[in-house]
Amino acid sequence: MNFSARDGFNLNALILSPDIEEKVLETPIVLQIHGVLGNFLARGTPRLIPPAMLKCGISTLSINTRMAFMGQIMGEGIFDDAVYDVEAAMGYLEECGYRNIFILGYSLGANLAAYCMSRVSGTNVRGLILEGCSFSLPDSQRNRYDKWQSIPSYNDIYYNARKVLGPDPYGSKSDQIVIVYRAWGASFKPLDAELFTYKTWWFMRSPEAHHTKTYKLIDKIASPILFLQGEEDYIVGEWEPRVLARIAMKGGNGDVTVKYIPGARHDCMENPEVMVKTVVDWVSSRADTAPNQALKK
Amino acid sequence: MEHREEKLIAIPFGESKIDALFYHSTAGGGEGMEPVVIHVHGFLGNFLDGSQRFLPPILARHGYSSLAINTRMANFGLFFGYGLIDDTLPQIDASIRYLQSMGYAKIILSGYSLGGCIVLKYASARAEEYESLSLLGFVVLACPYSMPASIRRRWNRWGSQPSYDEVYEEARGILRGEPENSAEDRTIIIFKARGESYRPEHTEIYTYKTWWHLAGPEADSAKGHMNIQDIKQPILLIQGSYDDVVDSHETYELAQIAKEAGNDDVSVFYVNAGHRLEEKKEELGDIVVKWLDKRL
Repeated sequence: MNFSARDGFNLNALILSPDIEEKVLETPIVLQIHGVLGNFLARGTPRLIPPAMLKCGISTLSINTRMAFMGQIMGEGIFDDAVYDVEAAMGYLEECGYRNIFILGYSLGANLAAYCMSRVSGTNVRGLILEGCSFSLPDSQRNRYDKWQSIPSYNDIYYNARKVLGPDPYGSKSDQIVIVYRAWGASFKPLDAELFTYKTWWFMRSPEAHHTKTYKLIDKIASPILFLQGEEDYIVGEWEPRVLARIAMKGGNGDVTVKYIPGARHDCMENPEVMVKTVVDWVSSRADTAPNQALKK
Repeated sequence: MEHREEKLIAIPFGESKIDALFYHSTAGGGEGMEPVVIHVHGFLGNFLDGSQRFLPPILARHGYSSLAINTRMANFGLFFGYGLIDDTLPQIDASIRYLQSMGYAKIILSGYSLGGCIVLKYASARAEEYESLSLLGFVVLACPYSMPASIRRRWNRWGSQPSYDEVYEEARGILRGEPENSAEDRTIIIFKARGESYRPEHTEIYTYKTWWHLAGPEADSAKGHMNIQDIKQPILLIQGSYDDVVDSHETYELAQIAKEAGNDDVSVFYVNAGHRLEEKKEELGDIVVKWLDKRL
């Protein structure tokens, strides 16, 4: 299916729901947001969680935001604008009449979901699931680039981005694709490289990318939050969801849970049994209609 | 009235799968007419984008079902080293087998731009197997005469940085005569490849290996003019009249080569559109439908 964000961006989305038309709006539905270069068919959680949820009587709406596929490489994947895509999906579900809406963000999608939820008040969203959520995308990238001695370095990219984008990065007509070698490992091979435009980098990874510094905004989220992280995650540190949870609770959120998934790395669906049970139990206890009850009705 | 059901499918392919979107035509009572059309995407494309997204619904209205597939060259396959034309051929084999297992016995293969090159390469490589593959014809949209020549000409026109010849020399050095197995491959950016600015839309990205197989002077699989002469089944070629990526004479020349090689059923149409053909979706659809109706 397709629908448009407020600025006209056209989203592709995939909805999976139980075959019980008259009760479907009571069934919990999880709005799923993909990770870096991802899409709703990308391997791991984005691809695997919808059918697993469906088996448990939970619907899903998986969206391809403007960050999907090559958005960050070709220039349209501006993180701050991608929030419109999530809002459009939430609006679509509310308009349809869904009453038990949850959001699951995976990796980059977790940071995006957190930013989106920090902006809204009085939302119908019953809970937020943040899988592999980085404390801060800029800090995470800077540390990774320093570790592998990326070429160019984080500071060099920042310097060049300022030069190319000028004083108004968002409004800048000037932009370029930049390749970063040794971004993910010690070699110059393609899989260790990373690609952005200066503009997409600015709003996602630069020191000025304030909306991807999740630690700065997590305390504004009032909805229940479930942090999920693989015990063997090598991209996000073990401490990151734990500290984010503490900040959220300090901000007054009384329903924050952190769950580490054994036998999983960055993608918690590497242990589907525990991951699915964790999500289903958490959603069921926060929806006003449990998944199985909706089906039984 | 939409006249179709859309179904996302994952076609088994070794230990992997091919993602695809199947459009089952329900026009005229539910049973889609044969032939069924397989659509192959273009440069950095996928089945949610471009003609492989807008053409199947038009065909479905007229009773023809479609299967739009994502090959290894979809999305950023070219950027990370695994998007090679020759590796898409077994994927098309698998897609055809999938349709045959559904009961389809008449299949048309259609490709847009780079997908056109893939279709021509496939049709040439499988020229002796059309019957067992149930292949009855080919639709080729906005396809260059030769991808390497087209890219060289475009890069030279805009003064690309680096130049075509510089990339060729670098690729030879990096790949060291072993383009299949180079452990030294790396991603490269070419500025001013599609226009005069440094902006992303005027930039292209490859690895040396994917460039070698798609754009290098030795990339024979991407040379449509070499492959089209082997095809003896009906061919429909369509191009936009103001295509700024593929010169308008390229489609005409491809058709001439096919005819001179003995193919007596080659059709050429130009529509008033650019490379993406999006300005004339319905007109494009009508041409394909009429071609299918008359021949098949």
